[in-house]
Amino acid sequence: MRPFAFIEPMTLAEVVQLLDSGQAPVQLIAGGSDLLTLLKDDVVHDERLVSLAGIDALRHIRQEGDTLRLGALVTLTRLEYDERLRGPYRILAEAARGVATPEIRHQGTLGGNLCQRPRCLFYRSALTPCLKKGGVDCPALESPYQAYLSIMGGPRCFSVHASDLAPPLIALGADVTLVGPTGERTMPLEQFFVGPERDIGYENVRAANEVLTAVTLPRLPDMWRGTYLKARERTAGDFPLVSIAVGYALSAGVIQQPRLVLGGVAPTPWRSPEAEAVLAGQPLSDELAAHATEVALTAAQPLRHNAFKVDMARALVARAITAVATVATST
Amino acid sequence: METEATVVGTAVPRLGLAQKVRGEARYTADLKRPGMLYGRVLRSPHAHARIVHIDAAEAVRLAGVHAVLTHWDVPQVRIDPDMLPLDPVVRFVGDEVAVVAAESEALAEDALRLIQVQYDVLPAVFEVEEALQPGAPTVHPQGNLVDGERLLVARGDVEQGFAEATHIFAGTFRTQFHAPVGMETRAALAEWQGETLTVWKTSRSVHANDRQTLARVLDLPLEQIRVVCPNMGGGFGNKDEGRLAVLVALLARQAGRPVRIEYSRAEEFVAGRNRQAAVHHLRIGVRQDGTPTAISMQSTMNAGAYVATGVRVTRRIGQGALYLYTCPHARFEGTTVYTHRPAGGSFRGLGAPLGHFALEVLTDQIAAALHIDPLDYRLRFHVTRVGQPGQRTTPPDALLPDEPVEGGVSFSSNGLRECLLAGAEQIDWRQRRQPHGSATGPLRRGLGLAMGIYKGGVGREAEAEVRLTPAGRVQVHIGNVDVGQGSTTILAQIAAEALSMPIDRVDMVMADTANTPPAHITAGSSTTITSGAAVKLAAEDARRHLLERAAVVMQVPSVCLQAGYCSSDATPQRLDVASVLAGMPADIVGTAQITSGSRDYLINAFAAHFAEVEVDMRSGRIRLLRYVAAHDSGRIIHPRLAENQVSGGVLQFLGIALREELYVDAPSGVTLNPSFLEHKSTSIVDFPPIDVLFPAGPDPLGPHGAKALGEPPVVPVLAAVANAVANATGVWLDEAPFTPKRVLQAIHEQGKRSV
Repeated sequence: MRPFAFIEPMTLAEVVQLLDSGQAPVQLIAGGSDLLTLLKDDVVHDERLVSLAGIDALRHIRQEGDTLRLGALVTLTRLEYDERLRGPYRILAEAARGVATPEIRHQGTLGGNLCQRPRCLFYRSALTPCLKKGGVDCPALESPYQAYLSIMGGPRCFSVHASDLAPPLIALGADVTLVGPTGERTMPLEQFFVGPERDIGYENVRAANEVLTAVTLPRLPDMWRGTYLKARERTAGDFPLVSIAVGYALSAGVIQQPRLVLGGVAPTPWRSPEAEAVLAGQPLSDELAAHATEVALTAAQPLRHNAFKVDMARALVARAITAVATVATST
Repeated sequence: METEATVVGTAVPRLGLAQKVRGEARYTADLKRPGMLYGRVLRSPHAHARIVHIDAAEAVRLAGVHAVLTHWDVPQVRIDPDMLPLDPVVRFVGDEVAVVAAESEALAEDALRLIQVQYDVLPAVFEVEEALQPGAPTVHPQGNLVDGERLLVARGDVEQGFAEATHIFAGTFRTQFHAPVGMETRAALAEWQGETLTVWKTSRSVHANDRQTLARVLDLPLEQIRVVCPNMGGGFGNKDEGRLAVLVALLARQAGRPVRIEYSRAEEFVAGRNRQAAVHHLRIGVRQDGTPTAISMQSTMNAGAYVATGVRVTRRIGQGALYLYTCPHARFEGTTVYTHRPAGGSFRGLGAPLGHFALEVLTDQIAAALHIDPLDYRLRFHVTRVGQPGQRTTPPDALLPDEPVEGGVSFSSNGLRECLLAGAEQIDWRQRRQPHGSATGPLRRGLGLAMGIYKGGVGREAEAEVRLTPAGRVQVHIGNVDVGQGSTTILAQIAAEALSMPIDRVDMVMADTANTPPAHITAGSSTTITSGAAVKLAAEDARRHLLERAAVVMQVPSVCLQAGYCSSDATPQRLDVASVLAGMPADIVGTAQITSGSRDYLINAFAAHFAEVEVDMRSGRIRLLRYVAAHDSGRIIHPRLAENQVSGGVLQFLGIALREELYVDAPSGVTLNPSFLEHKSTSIVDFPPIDVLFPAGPDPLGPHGAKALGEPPVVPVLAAVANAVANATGVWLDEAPFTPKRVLQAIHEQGKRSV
């Protein structure tokens, strides 16, 4: 690992000031479970790390009126066990439990999980070129090793967003808050993520001088339930090949407020409003689930070596749509 | 004199276990010497290049850096026929270019970044087909075909055998490039005192490999070199690279201080010795009733840039095809090819699990085509104790090989039938196995089985010394390495048994060239059967001396020894061993020197494995539900360690069957996934319950009736899983690992649907 300076400010204002100072390459560090591997593997060369560890305010989980505010430094372990994450919010705890391993869940944070960098093997190797690293080539496109690449197109960069928390949070309709030198801005989490058509170098709209401070969950109907399913090669310690968050409320057997968001299939978490429209207002049936699944995956355009992910996604989406009803009726 | 065994055959507490559990056991990377420096290796970013110039001046000037070595600074003496200590030509991404010793690891890494290397990048070749084309880039001047020729071994005449067949079955099978993934990365520490060198190192052979190599390359007499291997965190056969010991010794000499190098995990994946990818073409001819008439296999191994173990890995691919089924005509052709991939080497089982994958899957296809239950097919046609038909070709007075080809020789013992029957009963094969591919629905369960045949661990020389000290201790000196499999305990049991002494009186001295007689490499599942035989003889020798001494002390003509006491018919007096020894001026020394093996019988180990899987037809995921491994390794010296050896081997190869693979990018030659995360090393939650059975009896030849066990557990695993998947789904897998992608593709291509 190259040497770096480690700075531990005590206030958010100091953090923003340090990020905004325009000095040598600087990066925020929270749990570090992603950033440290990138530094050790010599993929990024940040010379100054600004730690968020001193900002206690970012550790809170707080009820604010109708909403639940989750600080960016809340660990995945806390998401797994916090008793406020039940009912409609249960899907988030479920997804947190599927991340990595217990050790990493103790260290990894909500904010870090949402800002994690792509898992593309070519991005992660210091020895291979990559558009994200400022290169002009993308060897991934010609490579047979495409299991962890997009089936929903790029353009140009086909790395996927591998967060396990983003799909359920988008399904819940969460907002994200960023704080920068000019103040605070809040937006739907869905709009936080951007694909390579907008930014080839970075996967979200956070500016280099901004801090992701919180995620806010809106109030959902009491009957609303979600399910998160994740296909992976190992039971523990693996990123998703494909993941799916599906949620809705069942009222008199009819689906209301459906949300359907795929992970691991596209450069951003992939919400399908078309599939949600198929489900909305309909009684649940196998045929309906199959139809919504087809619609969710009509946009699929797999690469040469990852068409299997489309089959895998179909199986997973259909299963998740049906599974929500089991959760919805059993609680 | 033979008495009922009391120590052998029981699960005595494993020696050194408490220290390991408490974290007190010292491994190479735990060792520190006064003034010790830390070494790091600069590795090639190119798959093939000539080093035009290296400027290390800036690195040398960095405060705290004490030595930098490039190929100009090291003896140009070959470590292996294809390897120099440092070479002006680099042959894979990760090949060693230079080494640095500094006050800290971080400083050493900083120094690496200051070394300027100018490369003349050369064309590289990654695939076997290309590498064998005329005009292909050559990895080594002697050509890309290792040893300059294909390996050919045969019995009978396969063409005649195929002519006699009514059906001929054929298949092509592929096995992947992957890493053995020992928990401990390799490490070495060198210290000079004048012209005398001590090296502590992760090793599988301090005597036969490391010390010899150091003597040759450094041009030192053997007496001036001591090599020690402390505790090992996993051997698996691949810790036999040649460069590490040499480079750390040269760095220490240059710096004038001790130096330790410890590989990072990524280095272990890229620059450790890995299992090479291979392709296997198999043809089997059978009569109407299924009787094999000819078995012919051609395998090609992509050996990477260096091959310490040469064609031996390839040779072992053929063992199943040549010998597992009774068949007069069998042939194996093995091709080993250099490419610019990371270096290959030995790994547990060598080629055997790969060849057995092809053989045992094609055998299931034959059984399915002929509508014979695969268990019945094997019960009918597996090789039996009488061996293969044909004429012995080994001269009558020569030791028989344990990788046999010839017919006309019997096995010392062969428990295949017992393994098949016991395993089938344990998994309830007769009741629970559904007809091939008859399951329906999205989740389908199935049972599969596969057999294995493996070397007996013989054919090597071994020496042992057993000392009885005046303090009443038994000291066993043997040069082998306990690579983590527990041989320390096994060899102590054998000595204790021979001396009728409790095991807690035995002290083991191993893997230290200064204190042990010369020893063969810890390889080929040989420690118990070969080194164990030497320990047994040396202990018996010591016992004879002890009894002579006791007879003098007790003033009787002869003495016998039982449960730690010397007694005689001539007197009611009994004397404990400690009292006999206490009066001695010096140690009683027993020695033995042997070459293990037999002139009359083939010695092999056998196994039959049974797997139960559930396959998700929609996601392609295979879940292991249950596994039964039945082994004939003769008499089991330590039941608990033996079970661990088997379940550990099964676990290791279930990971290799299902997901583990190293990806090498072409044309860059970069290993893309050198980490536990991306290599998909399996964690404990993915393993099924494993039942381990030892249904066969003692072998008449082995020490206390034992046969080999180290590697046999890994041999049938790939095939047992593939056959269970085929039973569940009707889909045959011909390429490992069996990832969701491959399973879904196979389902798609073989026209199976999910309902």
